[in-house]
Amino acid sequence: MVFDIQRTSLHDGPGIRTAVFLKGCPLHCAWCHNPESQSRTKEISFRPESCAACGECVKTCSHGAHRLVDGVHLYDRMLCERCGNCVEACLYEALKVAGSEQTVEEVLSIVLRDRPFYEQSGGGLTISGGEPMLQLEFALDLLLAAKADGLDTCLDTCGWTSRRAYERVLPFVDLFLLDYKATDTEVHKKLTGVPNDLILANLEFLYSQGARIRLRCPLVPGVNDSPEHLEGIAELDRRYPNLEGIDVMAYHNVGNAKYERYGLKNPLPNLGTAGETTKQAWIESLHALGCGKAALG
Amino acid sequence: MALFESANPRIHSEKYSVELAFTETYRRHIHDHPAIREARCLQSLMPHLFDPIRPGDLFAGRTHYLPIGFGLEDAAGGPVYYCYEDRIRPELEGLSEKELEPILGMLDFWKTESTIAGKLVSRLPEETRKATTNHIAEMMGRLSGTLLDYEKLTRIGLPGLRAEIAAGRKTNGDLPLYAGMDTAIDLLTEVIQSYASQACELAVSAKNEADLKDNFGLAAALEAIAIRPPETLREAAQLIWLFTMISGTVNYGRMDVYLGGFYCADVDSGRLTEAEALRLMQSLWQLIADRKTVFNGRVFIGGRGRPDETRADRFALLAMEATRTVIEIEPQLTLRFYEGMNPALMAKALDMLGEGRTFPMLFNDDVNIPAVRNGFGIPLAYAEQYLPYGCGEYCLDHLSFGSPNCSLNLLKALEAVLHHGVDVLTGEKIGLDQGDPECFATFDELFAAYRRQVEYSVEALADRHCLEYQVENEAAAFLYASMLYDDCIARGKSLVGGGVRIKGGLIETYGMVNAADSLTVIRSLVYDRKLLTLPQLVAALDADFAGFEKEYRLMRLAPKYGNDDPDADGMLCAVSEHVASHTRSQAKRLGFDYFLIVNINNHMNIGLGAQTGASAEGRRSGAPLANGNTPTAGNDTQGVTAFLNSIVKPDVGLHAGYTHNMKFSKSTFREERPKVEALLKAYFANGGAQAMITVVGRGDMEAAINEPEKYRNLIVRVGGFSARFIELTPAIQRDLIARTLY
Repeated sequence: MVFDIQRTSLHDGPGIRTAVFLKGCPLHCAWCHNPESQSRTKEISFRPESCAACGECVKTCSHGAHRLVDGVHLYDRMLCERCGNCVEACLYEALKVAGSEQTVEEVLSIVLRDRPFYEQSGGGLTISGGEPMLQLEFALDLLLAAKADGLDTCLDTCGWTSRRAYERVLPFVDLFLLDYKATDTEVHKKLTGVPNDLILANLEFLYSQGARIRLRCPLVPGVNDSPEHLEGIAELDRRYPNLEGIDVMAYHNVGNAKYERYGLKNPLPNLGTAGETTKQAWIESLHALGCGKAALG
Repeated sequence: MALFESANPRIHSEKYSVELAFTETYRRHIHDHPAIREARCLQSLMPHLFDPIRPGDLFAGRTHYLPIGFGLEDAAGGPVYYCYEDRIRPELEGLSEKELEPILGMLDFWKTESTIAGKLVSRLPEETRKATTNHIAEMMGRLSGTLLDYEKLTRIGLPGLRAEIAAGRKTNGDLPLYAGMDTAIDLLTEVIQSYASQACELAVSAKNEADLKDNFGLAAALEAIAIRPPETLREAAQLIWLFTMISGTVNYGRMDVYLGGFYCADVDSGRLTEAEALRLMQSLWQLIADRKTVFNGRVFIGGRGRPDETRADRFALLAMEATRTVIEIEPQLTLRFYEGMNPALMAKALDMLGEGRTFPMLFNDDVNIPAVRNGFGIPLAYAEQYLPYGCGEYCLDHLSFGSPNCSLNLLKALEAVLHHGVDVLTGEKIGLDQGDPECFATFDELFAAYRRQVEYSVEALADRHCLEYQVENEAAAFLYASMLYDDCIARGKSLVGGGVRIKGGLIETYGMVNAADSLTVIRSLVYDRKLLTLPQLVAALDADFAGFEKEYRLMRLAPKYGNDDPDADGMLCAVSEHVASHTRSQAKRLGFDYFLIVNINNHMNIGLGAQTGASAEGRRSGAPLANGNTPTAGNDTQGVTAFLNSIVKPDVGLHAGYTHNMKFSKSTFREERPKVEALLKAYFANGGAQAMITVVGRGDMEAAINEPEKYRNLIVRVGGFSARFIELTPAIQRDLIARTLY
């Protein structure tokens, strides 16, 4: 289940890359800006502002999920079976589907179109999510196929999966982009839904195996940017001096609108995008803590 | 005040005295050989066009043009013998009958004698006229795209030109062409000497040391080039500048080739400091900018086929610095490059683009040289001299002349096919009647009908192009341009009279992307998916989609060129290859060495769009056409790699230049510079022929509409030219904002 394929991705690993986002995530980070990527199934997004209330979706929906009441389009997610027929029928791009079944060959054929750009820039394929390790077999097949075609590969992962799974992908991943979200495991649990012990254990494992790793640290103002966490990041840098980089991923609220379109509840509805001063302050603090690798990602 | 007018106050006391005297000269020599007539007319006209040296200028030679006159390119006092009656009429109010009479007589005279509006139009067969005077196919009636041999001029100077003419005379006899050329050189010498005197006067009356030095320097340079070949950068630049102004050409050739040696010799010998050299070029750049030729003003640097590459590269860097520091929309600095060229040039170019300059435009020799070799059917050494002048039409530096005199709106051709050959906006019959839309049972039948219409228009344009050259040749010899074009002097023939080594012609195509996308949509919705019938689709177009919301949406959602989509891009290639090949096949019939299309853009995508009804790619009636070979604004949605993959697909070896505009955000270009460099490198390695890059802030253009005074320096690439954003019309501004920003 592929959630999106983004070509010319400039921020998901080195060089110019194609990022393949797989659907489904074991974490539910409060600040998630792709909430539609969390469930493993298809999701239908509805943008009322684009809807012309033409009724085409009503005609095509056999589950009664779409109704027109007094010229207003109502979409009942409880009745919806996510078949996607309404999306096909919608001429206004008010209904869209997140998630499509695609084969490794289909995905790879798109990825390979940009090979010359990867070669010039040192880029390649990034598998991201959601959490790509939730679809281990697909991710593994895609990695294998990409390696067979000589592509550079990145795996963008939250770290919350079994060591065995990482063992299996390890030979086919050139660079891990591993998330580190909170130092205090209780805070981690509160913010993401899971503790961080397994994540740290997997970091330890991957590092010990000589994997190339960049740590990706989403920082959300007032939520997980405590001095303890910054120190925690610096501590990881000391413990694992060969980390390739530590990217501070500053929170932005561009994803907020998506919660509504997918009928989801936004856990942090009123949070503003991190300002330049805040971002610089984070970097300065990290540098002061001896973490010279930290940079805005 | 004209330079020489001050010496003869009687002449300009009378309204239109210069035009009247010029007309009288023409009349007196009406039966003379065109070269002689031209020489006499130049003598009568040119002295009045040159303006005095402007304070601060380091070079002499500013001009203005009159409503009646003679010239080469329409951007600079042309084309040929012309009369802009509409500019004169409103000025006649209040004149006495006695004053009016000669002026009206003059206007009457030029009605039939002006080369394009008079002579050409009267010579056109009715069918050709009809087929080339409508919104599918139009002719501009002009001469455009001369690229003079400035290398020869600066090497041998005016005395060397006289010697070449003398040698020609020995071989070919005492032809009127040679007599005309001699007169033309005499006239240029007079202009030079007159400016030399003026510069001396300015020096004498100078108020400070700096002015004194500048003007003495100018006077000395002028005096030198009147009698010998130039020896310094200043002399060489002054000579090419005055030759440019008197000849009426508007592009400046490979400047690093012809000025590189002078520049390096001056700097290396200590005659000039780097700063002084830059100051000279800045002054030259300002003179070029002030000519306001808009679509022209090309200065070329870089590339293969430069004899002394090291020196040329040094000058190229100087030229880029001049462009970086003189914030103007001309000269249109153009960098040719190839794998293995001095990397400092490309690095500097990208720095400039990152700063928000739209220059230099980038042309990839590794793609273009083989393409030109094939397209023009010429040897490698010639192909290395390709130059994309004007809006990006390829020509061979002083080897070939091929004026782009026709425009062909391919989307309008498709519109005619769907409407019995009738223009939906005017109701006029403009094309072939190929029957009712419902009679096209298959897509192939429709596509064949479209091809027939295009072929009909191409052939009519080709016929007219040929006739235009004939009429222009009967009118004049274009003495100055002919002197600096291979092999006019040696053959004893003029530029369009059989002198030029490689004779060509060009058709400017428009709406190629729109026609292709429309055909893709029709194929998909009507013939493959059968969601609509062709008559239903045409009805939606005729209503400009009003009441056809569903049809409109279907058309908008169908695949479009620019997204690396094999079907949509494949259609673009088919449309491109068809019109390119058919045009190319006309050369033999016309007796040309080449006849090719270009798919460039100036601002005509807006004007021609306004003349074109709604189209099947979901374009509303009157909306702009796509720009060159760039996807329709906003239709490219799959990222810049997909965009770049799409635009390299049409065969480059069949045409004379397609333009590719691309806009990058400041943040991408500046913060991700290595990735942008890799992106461009990969694009060029994939077959990208050229790139016209604008780097602009996301909100800059919107903000400039609201507060234009703050954005005077916001320069954007429109198509084949750059412009100050705030000076563009609202329609063009909207079109630019709609284009995808990567």
